[in-house]
Amino acid sequence: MSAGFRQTQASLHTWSGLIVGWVLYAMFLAGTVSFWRVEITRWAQPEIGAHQPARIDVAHAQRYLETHAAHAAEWNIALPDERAAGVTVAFRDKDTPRSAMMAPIYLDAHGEPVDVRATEGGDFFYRLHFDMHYMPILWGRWIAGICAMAMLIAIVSGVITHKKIFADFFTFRPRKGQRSWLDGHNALAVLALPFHLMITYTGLVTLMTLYMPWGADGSNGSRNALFAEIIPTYATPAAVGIPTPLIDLRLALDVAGEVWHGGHVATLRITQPGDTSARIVAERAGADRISANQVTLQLDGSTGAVIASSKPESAGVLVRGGMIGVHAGRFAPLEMRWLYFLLGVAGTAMVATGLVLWTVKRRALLPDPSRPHIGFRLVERLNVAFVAGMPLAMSAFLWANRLLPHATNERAAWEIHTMFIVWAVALLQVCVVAPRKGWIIQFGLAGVSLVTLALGDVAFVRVDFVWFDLVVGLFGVTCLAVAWGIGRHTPGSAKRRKQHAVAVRADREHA
Amino acid sequence: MSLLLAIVGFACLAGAMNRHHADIVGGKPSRSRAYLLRLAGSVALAALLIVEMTYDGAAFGALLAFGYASVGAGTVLLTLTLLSRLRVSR
Repeated sequence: MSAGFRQTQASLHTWSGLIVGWVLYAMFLAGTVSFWRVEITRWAQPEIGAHQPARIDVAHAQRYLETHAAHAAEWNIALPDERAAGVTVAFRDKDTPRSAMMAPIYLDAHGEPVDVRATEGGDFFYRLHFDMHYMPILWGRWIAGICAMAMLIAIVSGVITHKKIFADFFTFRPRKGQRSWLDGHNALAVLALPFHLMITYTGLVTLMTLYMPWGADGSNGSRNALFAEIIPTYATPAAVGIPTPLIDLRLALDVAGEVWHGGHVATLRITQPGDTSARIVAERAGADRISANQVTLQLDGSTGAVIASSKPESAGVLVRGGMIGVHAGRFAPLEMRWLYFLLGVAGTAMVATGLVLWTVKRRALLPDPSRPHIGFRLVERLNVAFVAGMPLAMSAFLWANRLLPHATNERAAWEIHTMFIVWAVALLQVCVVAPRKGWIIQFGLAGVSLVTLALGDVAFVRVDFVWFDLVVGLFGVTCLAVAWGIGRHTPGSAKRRKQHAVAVRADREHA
Repeated sequence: MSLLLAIVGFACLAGAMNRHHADIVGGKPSRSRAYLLRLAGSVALAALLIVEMTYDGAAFGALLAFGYASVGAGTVLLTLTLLSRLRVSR
């Protein structure tokens, strides 16, 4: 491989990484915590108690709906998977249009409705990961797609640029300035390379019919026609007016479990309950299989007999569903979920070290390091506001979840506003202070915020979810350690740096 | 178990490399020792993949094996860094 080719790839790597780097960091961080999407939601709603078997939940749901919504046109029951807790029910009256389903009601362990605080919980970070916020969803998804494509380019060009990918495989030389940053960036990238490649590629696949719609448009006439074929829909007969009791819904769980060879039910949708024409559609839990495609089953509501089921996936549909599944990791049991999370953390750190490396590498080459040019200042400050400011802002979201009064108008939205307000303040702060100070203050605050949040939660709110608080606390300690490390680090004197810069430039001219 | 296989595998591969051998044991590894370590490392990593795919199925197993490989390699890297720092400070 010629040196010239490697040099062009190095430039490509630098700029494809830098330009989208901050959004990528935000996507990586939000996506990584989204592996705990269900757990975050559960943490955010301490009103809901412990997980209990689906058979008990479904019996409670049926009892509640039969008492309060016996004449509804449609019932929905969402069963928590093993990681979540609390069954939710919703219903729609005969006169309300199909789209206007009632807000879901949470039932506690005794089947009584609970007044839970309004929050998006983990769903917020999940949507932030690919929809962004304060903008139309389609814009957000296009931005996410462009950034993911740049990421893919950065990964491939990064591998080509890396001169000693095998010789430096296990190498990390601490306290050597630029050398250490490069070693760290390389190690985080190379050791978790299978994950980075997989997650970026499959991330693009999740929205492929948005980014490249022509195949989907062409194959079945339109995208909607294609999805209608992939996502099964069933005929739901109108009510005939002959009252017939609905089967015990535990039976529906049994039937579905048998058809799916021990699979689990995630949701039940019952149309015309209490009528002869009642139909039950059961959807299979995403935790059951890797492929993210919907698997459903339609049962007769008065007999429990299987009427229809979703077709087996074709090879193409299975590949797409499998890739989406591998990306989102909904299937992942606890052990694999931790691996996903740790590798996600590595990816986030890879982007962060890459961003910092850009400044470390160029600082030495500045004509006057005490007065860098505007582009350098911009990168330096955006780095602080994203890499340190975002964890700080995310901790503010969790604080808002705990502190906003229950009755706050648009409470769930205000949790999110709180996060962005804190983030904006972080950005403003680093515009007025030196970046070094910004790093210390923002990482320090994020650390204090996370640690006190975890301690406060255990002390005042709940003790049945301690491992979550432990992880939050550990991240806080890590933030504090980073802040402390930066505080202890004494940057070389301006004179020494200037000498170094001259030496480096002389080297370059010589070469 | 899987993590152990990954760690042993990558530790052997690292031991076969001049720099890390010099750091930990001192001196270059002899050719036969480097060859043996490389072989042992490859066998451990292959075993990781086979064990995972046998017990957890081809798809789940492959995902787990790659995950453990990354975490195992990271553990080896951190250990090597720590060990060489300890040697320097001594």
